[in-house]
Amino acid sequence: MKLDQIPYIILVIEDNPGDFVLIEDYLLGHIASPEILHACSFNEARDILNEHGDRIQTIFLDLTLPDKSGEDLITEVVRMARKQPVIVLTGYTDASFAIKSLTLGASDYLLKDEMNAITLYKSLIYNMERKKSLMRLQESEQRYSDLFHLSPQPMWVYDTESLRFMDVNQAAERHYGYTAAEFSEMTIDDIRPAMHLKELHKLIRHIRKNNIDFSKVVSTHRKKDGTEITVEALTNRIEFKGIEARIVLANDITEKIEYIKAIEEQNKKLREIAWVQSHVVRAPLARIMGLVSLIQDEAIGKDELGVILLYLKESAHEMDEIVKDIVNKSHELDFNTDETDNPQSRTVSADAQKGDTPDA
Amino acid sequence: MPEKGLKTMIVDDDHMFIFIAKKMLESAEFVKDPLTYANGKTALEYLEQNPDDAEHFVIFLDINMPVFSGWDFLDRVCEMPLKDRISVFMVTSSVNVSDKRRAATYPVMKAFLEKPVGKEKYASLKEMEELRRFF
Repeated sequence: MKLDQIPYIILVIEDNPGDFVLIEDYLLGHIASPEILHACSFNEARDILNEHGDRIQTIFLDLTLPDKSGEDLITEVVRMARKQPVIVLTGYTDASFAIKSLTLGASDYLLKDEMNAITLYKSLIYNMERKKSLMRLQESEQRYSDLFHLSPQPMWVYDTESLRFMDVNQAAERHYGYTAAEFSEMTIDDIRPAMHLKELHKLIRHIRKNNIDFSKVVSTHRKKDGTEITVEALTNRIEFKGIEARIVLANDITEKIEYIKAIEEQNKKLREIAWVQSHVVRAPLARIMGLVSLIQDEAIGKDELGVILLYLKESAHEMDEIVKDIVNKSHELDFNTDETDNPQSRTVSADAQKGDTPDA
Repeated sequence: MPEKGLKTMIVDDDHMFIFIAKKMLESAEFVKDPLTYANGKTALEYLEQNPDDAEHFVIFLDINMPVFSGWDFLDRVCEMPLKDRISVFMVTSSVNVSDKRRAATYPVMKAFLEKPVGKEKYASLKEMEELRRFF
């Protein structure tokens, strides 16, 4: 039989020297050159673990040690072995407890009297692989949990039936002012102004009835301090902890809307100015053009010339007034977007100065 | 029995334009003494009281007048039996596409003129089908 060439590093925590020699022999029966570390007590095991750390790949643990045993022992060893599987070795008398050890975090258990080289080796390999899988899974879960909890946009999950918050992220806590604990006692009704509830429930019924997955809704939300904000909520259907739920990403667009309104208002004024410019200005201008044609083309008497020149002067003045008026109106628009005592326009200009902030 | 000939009216609240138009019309040999009105109401009154003063009436009408606009004038003219003997030329200092479209809905409206209306323009109107026979 060919021996496993991998130099496994194994910690055997066993106080009975006879049992240890047996285990050592069994391991050498299948592995060419293992590094077998031996601890006879819990304290010794702890020292070895501190010294070797993550070099150790597997731990075999006897249940009865001189300085610790039972539940306590398992819990402690499992806690210290973050990346290693802990395989419990036990005698007949502890058999029932061995099963319990699995719930305490042990990876596997072996009855010493039933154990042989093959089962020991198999247990080693199997549990190492299993531990690796478990760790990858945990990492993945942590990653996805972080995506939700650390997302810079407020996010939450609510139960479609009861409307209760099932989970909220840090950004939601910060933005709405409620702690996660407070949220867990609330429903999504509680972050809306009372008068919008009817419409909200109508929308939820519609979504459920038509099995809608992805939806985008703009509505008014209410923070803990009473401030009302305009929110663009992107939601999706999700099954969360076995319950039909919806996940929501809340985009506060209050400022954006104010800004758009200000721009539209400004555009309206600019359109007015353009209209005024074309229509009102042209009247005296047309007059001037007509009067100049008269002087050029027609036989004009001296008195008439005087009248025409007077008309020209009046028309020119009229145009001047109109142009001044246009300039004033344009300045009014500039004035509105400068720093003034109007807090709304201050927001508008501050945004304009900040430049574009990336949208979620 | 209506009198022979053409009567020309200028309806405009801008007295300077009326001054210019009179001179241009004379120079174009269109008319020597056009009737002038500063508002549409008095012009309407004239038409209502003197429908037989001429065979045909030519009216240069300003669109933007206060109180009684060129549109109000047109609406009233279209209700008169006299309307078949009237040619209206709408005059404006600034052409608006929607104004042009609206003007086209009035059959009495014969042309849309942009201020300043020059001598040549007035002269060209004499060639129009409805007016040719008077020149």
